[in-house]
Amino acid sequence: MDEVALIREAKSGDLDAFNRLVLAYQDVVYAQAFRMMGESEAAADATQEAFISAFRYMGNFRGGSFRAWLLRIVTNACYDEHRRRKRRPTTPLQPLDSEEEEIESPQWLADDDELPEETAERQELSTAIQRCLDDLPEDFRAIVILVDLQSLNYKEAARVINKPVGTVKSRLARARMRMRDCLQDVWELLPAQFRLVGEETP
Amino acid sequence: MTENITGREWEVLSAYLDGELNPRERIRLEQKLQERSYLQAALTELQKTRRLLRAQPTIRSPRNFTLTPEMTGTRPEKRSAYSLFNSMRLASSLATVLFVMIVLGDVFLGSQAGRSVPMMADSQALQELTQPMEEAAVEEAPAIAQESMEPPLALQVERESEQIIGGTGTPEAGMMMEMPPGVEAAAKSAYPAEEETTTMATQSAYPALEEPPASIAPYPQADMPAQVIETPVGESVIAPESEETVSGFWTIWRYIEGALLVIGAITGALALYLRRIGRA
Repeated sequence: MDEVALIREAKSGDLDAFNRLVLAYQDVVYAQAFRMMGESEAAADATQEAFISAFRYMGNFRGGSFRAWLLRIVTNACYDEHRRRKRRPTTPLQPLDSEEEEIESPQWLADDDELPEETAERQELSTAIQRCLDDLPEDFRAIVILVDLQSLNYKEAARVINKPVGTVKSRLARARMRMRDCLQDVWELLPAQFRLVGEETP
Repeated sequence: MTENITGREWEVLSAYLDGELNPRERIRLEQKLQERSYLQAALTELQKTRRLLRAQPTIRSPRNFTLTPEMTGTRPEKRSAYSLFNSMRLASSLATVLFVMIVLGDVFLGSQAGRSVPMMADSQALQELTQPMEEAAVEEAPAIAQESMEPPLALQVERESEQIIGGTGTPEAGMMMEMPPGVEAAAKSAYPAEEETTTMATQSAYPALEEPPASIAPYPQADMPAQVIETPVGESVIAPESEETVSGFWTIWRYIEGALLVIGAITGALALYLRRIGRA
């Protein structure tokens, strides 16, 4: 069954059809939540809340990009979760291992084909990027994740955050400036394939 | 070197990397990039940042986030209970309606049948019994025929009651005393052998009680007018057959009524129970 048919069935209350959409989009939604929240437990909570809200408000989906609609819901869920955690800051921002030590990167990011040094470098870079993202204001963070990590174009991102394209453009530029400043210290960590060699300008 | 770049220039550079500038803006920026080296350095740093972010591995969800009915607030077991409630409610309503219809029909038809069957036997018997007497009275005393229609019936009933209670008095005397003189004469002429008739009736009626004939006619014969006084004999012959048939017929309907009442009560109780579950 194609996505349009699944959406139609889900709008009529078919939970099985909706769950098939969940399976198709859960990585995208969880990635957005993880980048927004900075840790896996909160990201899982926000993702679950987002899918529950999506099912309840399926009737409000008026067509267009279902992915962008889901990203909007999860982004709002992350805002809510952030506000809730600010009121009750009991959960650490970084995930803990079995000895209650903060771990730099979740285990599911590990690649079995990597050398241990490469894995360590990649995890360090990933942690640095996530810390820089966490330092951004929420609105800037959301837009840089949507455009640079979720690969949405400006119009799609504008629909997700419910702002004009001009706002997306300005927020994204400021977010990238801040990210550049934040990542100055980790440029040495970049593997060869991440260097600017061969990058083409549009 | 990039410190002198304005916010607007960062914005244009960022949009240029994403291909979001219109052709006019793009041409203008490319001219500036050739003229101003600090803009080219800023563009390079933005490219690095953007490339680094876009090179990040895709994050996979650690588990499935499929929803259960409990999460969404839908309760399928209660939905099925609700549909069962509808079925039970329908069954209960149908059973109740059928029950009421049958009870009403039972009451209506039963009262009609209960009234008509004995009454038919009585009236037929009386009609056949009184006919010869009336004819005789009309023949012998046509002038007082109208008055003599009532006394013989009253007399018969009186006699019957006397016989039943075993009284030894002479009912004729009492009747004669109450009758006016003209009527008395007419009665005497209409029933000339009253004592004999009574005797005959007693003789012919009581043997019938003791030894009923093999072929008992359901109704008294026309040629035995006086025996009809003993209407209990006629009734005792007719009633058992018709009552058996009628009672057998109504017993079936009583069973159906009972079954419908039980079905209606059970399904109604189930419907109430399921409704309570659905609300909880």
